[in-house]
Amino acid sequence: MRRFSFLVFRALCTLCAVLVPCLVLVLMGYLFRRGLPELGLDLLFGRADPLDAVLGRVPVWDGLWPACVGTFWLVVLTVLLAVFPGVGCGIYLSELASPRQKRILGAAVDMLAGMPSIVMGLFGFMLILLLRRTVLPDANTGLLLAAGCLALLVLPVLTASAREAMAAVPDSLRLAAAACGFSRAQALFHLFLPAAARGILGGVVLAVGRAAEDTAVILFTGVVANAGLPSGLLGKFEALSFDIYYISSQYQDQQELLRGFGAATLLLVISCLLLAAARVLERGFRKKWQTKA
Amino acid sequence: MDNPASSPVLLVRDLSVSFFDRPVLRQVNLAVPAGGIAVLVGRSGSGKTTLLRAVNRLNDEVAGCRTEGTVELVTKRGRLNVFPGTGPDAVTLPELRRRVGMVFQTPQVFPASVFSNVAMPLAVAAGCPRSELEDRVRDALVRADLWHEVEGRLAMSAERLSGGQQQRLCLARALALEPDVLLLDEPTASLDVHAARRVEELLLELAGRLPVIMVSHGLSQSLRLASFLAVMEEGRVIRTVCDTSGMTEGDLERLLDGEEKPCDAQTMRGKTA
Repeated sequence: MRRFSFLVFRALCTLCAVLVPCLVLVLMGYLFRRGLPELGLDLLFGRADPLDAVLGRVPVWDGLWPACVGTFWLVVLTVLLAVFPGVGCGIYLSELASPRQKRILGAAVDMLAGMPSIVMGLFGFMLILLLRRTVLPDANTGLLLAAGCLALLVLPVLTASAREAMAAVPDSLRLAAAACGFSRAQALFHLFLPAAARGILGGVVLAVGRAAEDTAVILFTGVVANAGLPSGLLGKFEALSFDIYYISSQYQDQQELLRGFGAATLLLVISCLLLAAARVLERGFRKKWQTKA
Repeated sequence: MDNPASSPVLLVRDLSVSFFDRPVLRQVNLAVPAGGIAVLVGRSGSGKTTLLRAVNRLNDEVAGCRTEGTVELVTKRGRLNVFPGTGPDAVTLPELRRRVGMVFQTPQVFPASVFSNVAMPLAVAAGCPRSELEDRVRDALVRADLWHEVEGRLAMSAERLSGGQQQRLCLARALALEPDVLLLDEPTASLDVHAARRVEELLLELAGRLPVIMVSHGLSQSLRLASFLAVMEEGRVIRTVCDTSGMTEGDLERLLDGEEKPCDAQTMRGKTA
């Protein structure tokens, strides 16, 4: 009987293990089949000259280039705003916090992680309304506000991954470091952080993915369908995720729908490129750390 | 207990260590003579490792640890108040641990290159100038009998070395800091016979230059290496032996079993306390 239960359990586990890659393949296959033929300079720049468009000399009205640039800056700003406090909080929780602080801070981080993204967007919107009525009558939604709200959204991801990565540093390494005469801070900076770098970077990659795909937050905080290239930190912007949402809900003909698939494929390609860049960075860093004195 | 030596390197008085109120060491008194290798022997759970870690206060790194009593080291650089670590003879914990080198049971290499494993503690913890690093790393690797095996592979990850090589790298890392005393916690337990013998030879050679205190499980190894033996049982040092020449494994086995008269004068000429 016990052997039969184990066989059933094993079969179910195997099924799950096969199911996940199959679903990914089906999803990617469908997306690429519809989207890949659409990829090209036309999709990005429409009727505008690519070089002029990239240099910002001419506006792009019927291409996805402004949305790509908007998404890029949105992700970069979000990561810049979120990495330091997110990773710092994770390290503090793992290395320095008392059990009571761990309980309280951990609960706060969990609560933030459970917050729906639409609430984050609403928070940003209300913040702007408050600023308008009080100290900044000209305040408006824009790139910086959207990135700030997205940073709040991805903060728990970064904190959790940094905390887990630091907690995964083996006790034996901690004892060996102490036995070599490292102070706590020296051990943290020279041994534990580099040893946990892969896990922390995993969190950054997840945060990048989340920032690139989230639509609910930016919907309230400054994204528009036709803004052109972002004019600055406080300007309106376009984003690929919003374009996909907009096209899929407003499309007039088959051609426009296919453009939506093209945008989705582009977003996937950009995410993959960011992932690859993060891996290259991590490898370079690891190599440098391993060989330096 | 008769005085085992006139010039002790380690003096432990009324040392009690507990973890979360569970006593591991109970009122330990011990004087380890300078010179040669002092070996702590005893059954599993008798408190050998805890006593060894009290010498560099590594127990302080473990949660729930509570220590009472005094631990003092008398080194070539003078007296060192290890615990309670107060008064003019006390030093900070990082400095104490630089002066009291330690090698663990399983090789604890850092996840970095062979070179970094030795150079990092030197550069970071001891503040060694960058210009001297290369020479001091080479010197430590030579002393640990590892240089000719890793000479061309210094940038390679230390985790790719064999178990015996990793343990000698850990030894080199400890030696590079020029310690006053060397602590070894069953340094050959995870090695094969050949690698273990090589480490043993190295330890005998090192013991001529600096005091070595080690924990050992192996009876034959204890007899091969020890110039001083401390037998532990249930958190106490129940017996010390100042001269192990002529002792057999059977004698040691009887000592571990706590028999009152483990051997006669013909089989063991050593003084027991």
